[in-house]
Amino acid sequence: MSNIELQVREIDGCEPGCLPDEVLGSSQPLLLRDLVAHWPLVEAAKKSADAADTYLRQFYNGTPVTESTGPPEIKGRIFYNDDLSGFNFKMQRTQLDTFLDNLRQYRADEEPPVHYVGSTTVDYILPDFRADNDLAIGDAAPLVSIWLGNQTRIAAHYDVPDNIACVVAGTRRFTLFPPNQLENLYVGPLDYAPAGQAISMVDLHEPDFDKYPKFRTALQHAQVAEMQPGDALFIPSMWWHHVEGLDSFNILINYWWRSVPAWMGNPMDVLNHALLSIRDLPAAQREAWQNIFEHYIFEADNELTSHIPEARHGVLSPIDESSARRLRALLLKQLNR
Amino acid sequence: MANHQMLDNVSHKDLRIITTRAAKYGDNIASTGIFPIEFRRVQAEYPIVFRKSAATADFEAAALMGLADGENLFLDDDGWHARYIPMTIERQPFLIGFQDRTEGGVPTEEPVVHVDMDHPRVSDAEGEAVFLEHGGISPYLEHINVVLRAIHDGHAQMKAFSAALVEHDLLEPFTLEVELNDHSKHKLAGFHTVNEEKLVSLGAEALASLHARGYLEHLYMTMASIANFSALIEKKNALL
Repeated sequence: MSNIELQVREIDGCEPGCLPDEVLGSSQPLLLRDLVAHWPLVEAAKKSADAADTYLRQFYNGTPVTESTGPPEIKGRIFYNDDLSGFNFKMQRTQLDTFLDNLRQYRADEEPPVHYVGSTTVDYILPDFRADNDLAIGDAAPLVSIWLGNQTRIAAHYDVPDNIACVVAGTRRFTLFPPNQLENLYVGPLDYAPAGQAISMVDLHEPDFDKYPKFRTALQHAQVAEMQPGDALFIPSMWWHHVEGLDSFNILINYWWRSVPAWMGNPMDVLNHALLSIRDLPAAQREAWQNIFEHYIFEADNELTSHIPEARHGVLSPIDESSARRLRALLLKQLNR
Repeated sequence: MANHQMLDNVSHKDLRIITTRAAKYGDNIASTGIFPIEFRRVQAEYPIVFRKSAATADFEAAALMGLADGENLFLDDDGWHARYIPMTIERQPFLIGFQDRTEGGVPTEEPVVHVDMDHPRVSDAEGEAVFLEHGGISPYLEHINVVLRAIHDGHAQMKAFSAALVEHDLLEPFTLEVELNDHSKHKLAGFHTVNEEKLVSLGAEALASLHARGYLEHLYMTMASIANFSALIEKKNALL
């Protein structure tokens, strides 16, 4: 196990269910102890796994879920197979009841097979659950998802939205790396990953420093959050997170939202487009484009347009709904060739 | 044998589709499935009939192009002479397949375009390009996407229409017996058509309900299309 000394900063005195603005606007991760301790599901989970299981089942509407299963040998690490020709787990559709029965069956097992249901929209499968177990995220309309499983480890990855992850059953350990640790994390394929988002290839439990020497630097910047039922973690957009479910029965509910308007594009599309259009240009042209991106995108300020009449700022004006529509139409037209 | 493959712009980059109408491309068929949104255009050319699906027991609609198996009386060496060709012909050799997908963790089936690579229309030399030079979607493929989507929606619309037909008992079996100019006799059986007596005796409430869903129009289009049988018989006599 890697020794990480830095703990995620804790915010004290949060009212249950109430998120201060300083949390939502934070560029650093924050641990909010007992933020959702008042949820009935958390109260049930504090009594026993069976109580949480029973509480949860009453909301299930019968919609199938996607379950990942893996043999005991993978020790919960949901990952690629040895040569990356596939994954070390299988996915199948199942009923939530059947999945919970499976978890129950292996609850006392020392080396259980992995049973995991990741990122499933709560309202699709548990329609009335949020009536008594919910969190308001300012004015945002978040995507609310549930994650269930026994002992699992999800390799470090980032998500584009901001995230509040609430542990509701079992204990969890999050290991976070700032966005600028990208080059030290040895990220795997961009277009083939267990859950869609590219992941760090380094095994946090047994890092191979001969193969991944720069991972030592990443560890120096890592922060850890050990979480109990009721605790919530704010993970800012783009922060890498390695997630461990430590008990034989773990449930997490998370909220994802973007702090920018919905009509803005997805930065990942820009990266894909840049792979298509810029990365393999001759060096001099690529540098010219680097300069253009710095000028128009990364260092853009009011000075950029001060020499142009305001009525002619066009796409250089701050983006709004109309200019987003025009740019989208232009891109759609340009891309289809 | 069909060889259905999921269409993609790498495996099928040079795919072209021959859109000429001819018997050698599979156009020599006497009937084809149609959907309610087509009835108005179909009735201008072909008789519309109903048949019971063997798989679902729902009624399906068909346009008739001939009176015997493999006979398309609109087709000759110069092409298919009609102002409208039904979507189930237009789509060929493409079809809708379903791919497992996960949406918010919930497994779903997503309709995706498949192509029958053993279909005689498939070519790499002549016909319409499916993809643009660098993998974009050609205007032809955009058109096919529209047709396939209309067919996909058409199945659900036909199912609902069929339920209304059954509810009001508006179909009856019919047999067509034809004597051609050479005195040969032909019999067409196994189809259903609108039971006009039942339709005219429906009460105001039932009529309003059929009208509100556009079904009354479909029924009258079907009734009007029956006149096209005489055109079919004329075409057949002309071939004698």
